[in-house]
This record gives sequence, C-alpha cells and structure tokens, in this order.
Amino acid sequence: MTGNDKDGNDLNEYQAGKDGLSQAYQQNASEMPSATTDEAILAASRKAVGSGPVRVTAPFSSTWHVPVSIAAVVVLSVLVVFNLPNESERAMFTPAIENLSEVATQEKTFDMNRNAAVSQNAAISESNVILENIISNDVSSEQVSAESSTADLPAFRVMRSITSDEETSFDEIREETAMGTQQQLPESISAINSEVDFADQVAPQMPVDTRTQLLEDSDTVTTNSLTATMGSSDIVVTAQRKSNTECTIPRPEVCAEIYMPVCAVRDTGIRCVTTPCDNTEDMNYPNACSACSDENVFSYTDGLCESTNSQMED
Amino acid sequence: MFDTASDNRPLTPEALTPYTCVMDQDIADEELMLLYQQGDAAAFEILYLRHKGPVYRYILRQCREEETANELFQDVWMKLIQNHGGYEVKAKFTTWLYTIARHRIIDYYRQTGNRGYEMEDINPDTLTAIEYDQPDVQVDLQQQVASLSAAVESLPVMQRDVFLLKEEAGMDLEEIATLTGVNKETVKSRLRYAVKKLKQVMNP
Repeated sequence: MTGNDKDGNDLNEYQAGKDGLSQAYQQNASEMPSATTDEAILAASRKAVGSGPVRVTAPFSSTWHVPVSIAAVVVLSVLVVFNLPNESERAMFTPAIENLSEVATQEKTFDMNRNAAVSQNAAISESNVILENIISNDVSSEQVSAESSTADLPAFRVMRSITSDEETSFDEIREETAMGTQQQLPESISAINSEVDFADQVAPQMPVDTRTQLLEDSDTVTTNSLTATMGSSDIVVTAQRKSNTECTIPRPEVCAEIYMPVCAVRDTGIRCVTTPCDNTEDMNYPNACSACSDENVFSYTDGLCESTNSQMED
Repeated sequence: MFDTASDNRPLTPEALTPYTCVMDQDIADEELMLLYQQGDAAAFEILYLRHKGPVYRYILRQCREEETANELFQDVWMKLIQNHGGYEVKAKFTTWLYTIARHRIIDYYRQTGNRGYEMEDINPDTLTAIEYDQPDVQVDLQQQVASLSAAVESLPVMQRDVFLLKEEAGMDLEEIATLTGVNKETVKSRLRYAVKKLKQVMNP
C-alpha cells in the first residue's frame, strides 16, 4: 500500500468516525467563553433590538417577504378603491362635525362605510380571481400581464415588467406568489371581512373621535401597504439577481475575500466524441469575482448551487 | 454598562430567560435569526447557546490564548448583532457565523504578523515543512503533544482551520470549500494531512 493510499484510508476512516479521532477530540473539547463575555454579548443582543427578554412565538413563515407581498397585493387592491372615498370623506366630515347634528353625521358615516365595504368586497373578489388563477396556473404569464394592465396595481406592474424581459423570473415569482397566497390569503380575506362587518355594525353609533381615529388608521394602513409593496420589490430584485450573469473579458486576477456565494457554470473540459453529453458542471464559488477569475467559468448565478445541500460528503 | 444582571452565572438552558422555555428547541438556526431580526431577544439566546461553545473553541484553537479568544469571540458576536438587520437566508446560518469568525481570526493573524492564512497556494507538504522548521513551533510541538487539543493547535494554520471547521462547526468538505474559497480537493488534502498528524499523536 502506498503512502497516499494509506492517507486516503485514514481520511475515510476519520470521516466515517471509525478511528476514534473525532470522539477523542470531542471529549477534550469542553472550553467555553467566560460568563462575563456571555453576559456582555446577551446584553448587547437585547439592546440591539431594544428590548428585555421577549416571548417567542412560532414563526409564520421562513420567508416573510412572500406573504407580506401577497398581503400587499390584496391590501393595495382594496385601498385603490377605499382611498377615493377617504378624500371626499375628509372633505365632508369637517363641515359635518362642525355644523351638523351628531345624528346626521353618524348617518353619513354609516353610508360611506357601507359603500366602502361594498367596494372593498368587490376589490377582494377581483384580487381573488386573479390570484387563484395564478395558483392554479390556469392563466399564462401573458394573460396575467394583460390583467395587470387593467388592474393597474403597483405589484402587478412590477410583475409585468419582469415578464417582458425575464420569463423565468416571472415563473419563479408566480410560484412563490402561489405558495404565499395559499398560506396567507384566507387569513387576509377573513381579516378584511371582519373589518367590513365591524364597520357596518358600529358606524351608526360611532362618536366623532372614533371616526377621526378611523381616518388616521386608514392613513396608517396606507403607509403599511406601501412598506409591503417594497417587500414585493424585494422579490423582484431577488428574482432578477437569480438571472444568469456572463463573465466578462478580461477576467479579474485579484479578488477580495468576500463571502457572497455564487453558483457558476464551469466547463469540465470533457468532450464526447460518439454521443452528445453535457460538458459543463455547476460549482460553488465564494463570490462572483473568484468565479470569473476561473477561465473555465462561463457565467454564474447568485447564491449556492441548488444541488449543494443534497450533495453527500465523500 | 449593560442593563442586565452580571452575576457571572453560567449560561445553561436553565439560565435562559423564563420565556425561553416556550420556544421550540428544534427551530432552525435560520428561523431563530429571522425571529431575532423581528425583535425577539430570546431567539438570539437560543442561537447563542447552541453555537457559543464550538465558535469559542474554533477561535481558541487558532489564537491559543484564553483572553484573546474571549476578545475575538465577543467581536464576532457583536458583529453578528450589529449586522442582524441585513441577515438574509441565502445560506446556512453557520456558514455566515463562521465566515465572520474566520475573517476576525484572519484580521488577528495580520495584526500579529502571522501570514498563515495568506499561504493559500502553497503545497500542504511545503507548508508543513516551513512551519515545522521554525524552532518555536518545534518546541511548542514537543510541549503540547500531551493532549489532542494541543496537537490540533500545533497544526499548520490551513490544516487546523479545515479540521476545526469539520469538528466544531460540523461542516462537510463542500461547505468548508465554499467558506474558505478553495476547491474541494484542496480541502480534502488539508484534512488528510491534519488527520494523519493527529493520528500520529494518538498512536505514536
């Protein structure tokens, strides 16, 4: 047996945990940081989030931006309709509060809330149809684009712009949207319906202060929905990042040691003569620069290769 | 300086805040980090408890001094806390954590004049010869081979790095290759040399 063979066997035994090295090391590995260090780090961690110990609740999703963006689509579709009466509501409320009797004002408030609720329901139904079509994949990307034009909603406009130049990215968004919608849409609709019911029941008895508060809350919802729209944009940016980037010539010779992993398509150098075969492979690199510095790399995509997690240690 | 009691209690599961007991201990690192991002300080405590030992030992075996190790260890977690807002689940949490730790150690090596991490392209055989030829390393080796931990600390920088990422971080060859920016064969080679030397210590 050669030295290399023996070394190889040593490594295999070690990786299989058969040689006792790993166990021996772990038995000795008991050092811990000092209690002072522990306290300093934990105190800083609490300070950074501006809290003392906080109760932990189960996460609603491992990726918050997808459900948030779905909620944004629903909320925005409602607000497109709901914000219009808000403006006239403000104009009408002011003289009403100042000059009319409390009863007359309450009646007007009730009517406006009821109208808003009806519009809200219509908007929800419309959003439902579009989103459910996306879920069931009954519509093509072109159809969704066309509907997006009609709907004129910010989130759909972004999706349409993606569709025009990156069909693959759109498909990814559609898939994420479908997954997020399946999880979040029922809750969103239920929450909005509850608000509509509440408005119908409570508006006639609503005092002036409450109505004023209602208007302020509406503004808050608008602000939140704009924030959520930014979440949608994040998805788009993520999708665009996933697109393939070609390495340019001349190739970089010096790269900074930054960890922003990319999955590169690399020429294996294998050329099949009798039958066609794939002569490329996916390989992880710590960053785009180091990927393109390899003269065998054609292009790369951001993030680790999909096969990375499933690859077994040899 | 800080707003919590500093009673030097050891950080054990029992020492965590009362609220922590409701946390599902099986929640993945990545989800805990996202919870912390949302303001959940208890999620961070769980993460910290899970990884503090391995990260500390990863640093301690590289710098060999307890005081320095505590200092570097604190820097690593402080950096993680400072950057928690920008965390995205693009890779495993441990990859992110050990990347920060590794960069901090590289900075430390540079500050102290050790160029070990910059000798990426040197053949492991050559690297071994270079380090073993240094009189202080020879003395260190003779003094420290008494324990396996000391033997690990005596390994050449790159071999030690790979071995510790395997043992303490639990990473496979592919993950180590990605983190260290070298190909898998190089990682394998470094680990093979490290294992060979450590076995010699175990079975002289």
